[in-house]
Amino acid sequence: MQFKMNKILAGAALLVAAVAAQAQVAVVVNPKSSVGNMTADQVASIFLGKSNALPSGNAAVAVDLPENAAARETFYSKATGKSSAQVKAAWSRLVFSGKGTPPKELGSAAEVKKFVAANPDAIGYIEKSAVDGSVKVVLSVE
Amino acid sequence: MMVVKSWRLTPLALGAALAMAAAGAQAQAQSESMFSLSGFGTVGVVGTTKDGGEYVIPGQTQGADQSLSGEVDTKLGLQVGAKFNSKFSATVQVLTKQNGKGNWTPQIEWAYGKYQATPGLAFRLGRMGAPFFAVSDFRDVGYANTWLRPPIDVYGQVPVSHFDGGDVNWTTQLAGHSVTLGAFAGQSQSYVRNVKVELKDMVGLNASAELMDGLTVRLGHVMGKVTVNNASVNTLVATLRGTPYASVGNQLDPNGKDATFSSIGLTYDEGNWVAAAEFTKRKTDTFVPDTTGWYTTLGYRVGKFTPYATLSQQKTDSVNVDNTVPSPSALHTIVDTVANSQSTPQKTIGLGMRWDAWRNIAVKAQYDSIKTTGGGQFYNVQPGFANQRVGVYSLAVDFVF
Repeated sequence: MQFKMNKILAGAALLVAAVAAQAQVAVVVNPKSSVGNMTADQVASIFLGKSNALPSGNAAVAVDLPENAAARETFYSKATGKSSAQVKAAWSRLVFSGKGTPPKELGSAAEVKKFVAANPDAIGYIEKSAVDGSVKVVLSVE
Repeated sequence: MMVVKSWRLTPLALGAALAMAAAGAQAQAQSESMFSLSGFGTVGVVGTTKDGGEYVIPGQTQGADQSLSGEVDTKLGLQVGAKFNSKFSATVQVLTKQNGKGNWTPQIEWAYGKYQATPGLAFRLGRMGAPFFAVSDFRDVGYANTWLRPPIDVYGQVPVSHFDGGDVNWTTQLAGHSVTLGAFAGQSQSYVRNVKVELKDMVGLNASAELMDGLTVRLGHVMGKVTVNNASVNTLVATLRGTPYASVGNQLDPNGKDATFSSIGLTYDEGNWVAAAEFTKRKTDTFVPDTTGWYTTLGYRVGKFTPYATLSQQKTDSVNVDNTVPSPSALHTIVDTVANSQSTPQKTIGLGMRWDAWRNIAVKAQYDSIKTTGGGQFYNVQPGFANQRVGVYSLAVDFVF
């Protein structure tokens, strides 16, 4: 009985670890950008359209992953504290008051990396495991 | 009959929406396109518990009583944006809903060019949303709002949604808080219950600040010259000017009179709580009364469901006419009738539920219990309807794309 319980606990721990590993998301910018580390608040303001300026003062060019991407859900819930419906409603308030355009949606982490590597003021997020030398990590959320 | 008419329209609107959604998906596929297309809409029905007056969004000419109407809330808006470079862009929004002439002719709601001088400073020129209220620009975008519709006790005071002119908006960080200051100037023309209402020499200021996470305060003030092109009021004014009571005529005169609108609002949206409140005052120098309108809304998210409650009231502070015409007389009665015709006080208790049913679709149900003084904001009020408590139930599906 005791042994069984331990096995279940170990299984649960592994499951939690797996979920945690999957949930690690990195916010990335162009490697040549002067932007160093960013806080979750700074990143959230850009992705919720409250501000369009990077810490460098330049206008940010933000990009999203597709709506069905697990990393997108993780990113918004952890970095902004909002559900996808709340984020959608927030952007519809901005779009339909002429105050902003939501981040461009790209198809995959590879496309986000390609876009960020090619645009000095770009900012995006990808699974941490997909990070390579073509982008610079400014924040990790998990 | 009203219902039939609206349901004929709704499939048409939906068809157009679907076509546009497909076009939008295609536009998105060409990711380097400078154009973006987005849209919003609502399919809604409203009914009330009492015949003898129609529930409308003020300005409309036909609404709901015990027979349901789809004409109050149903609407479709399409917006095309063009970004020429990092500084210059243009936006056009076309909206179809029951307008102040009682038809569904699509109207150009916005058509403006924007110059983004710096990340925080923007200038616009053309036709744009008139920022009288906290949610002025997206008052028609049901999906963007918690309620089924903005409280009419407040939003009904100024049935003007856009103006032609220019504005400047400046957003900056002040002691860690995001602050936006805006100024605008221009004029507007719209139909309110088939009557042309013009606002000229309109100048306004807005300021908003995020006081803490999720809590935003907004202040606004607009002034201008209002003209109500109502033939019978003008005839009455001319008649009074030929009597010893010319001053009464001058008080009723609806041509180029001073008008102001001031508002303070708070919105809170953080975690599971949503709250909003606005306190507003309308003042005019004509037969349109001075009013105070306020509401408070509180909602709490439970997963995909957000139940909410709203209290609101519109009060008449002054009908702006001191009727010194001796009574009893036909003229005295007519002056009283006209002076009170635009006075629409009422109190509302509203309960509703928003359900985020799909990623870009919200379904809402709302019940409003309205206590009117006189006919309140109901339209085509029949004798016996006055000073009642009326229930208004609404169901709506809001979408954005």
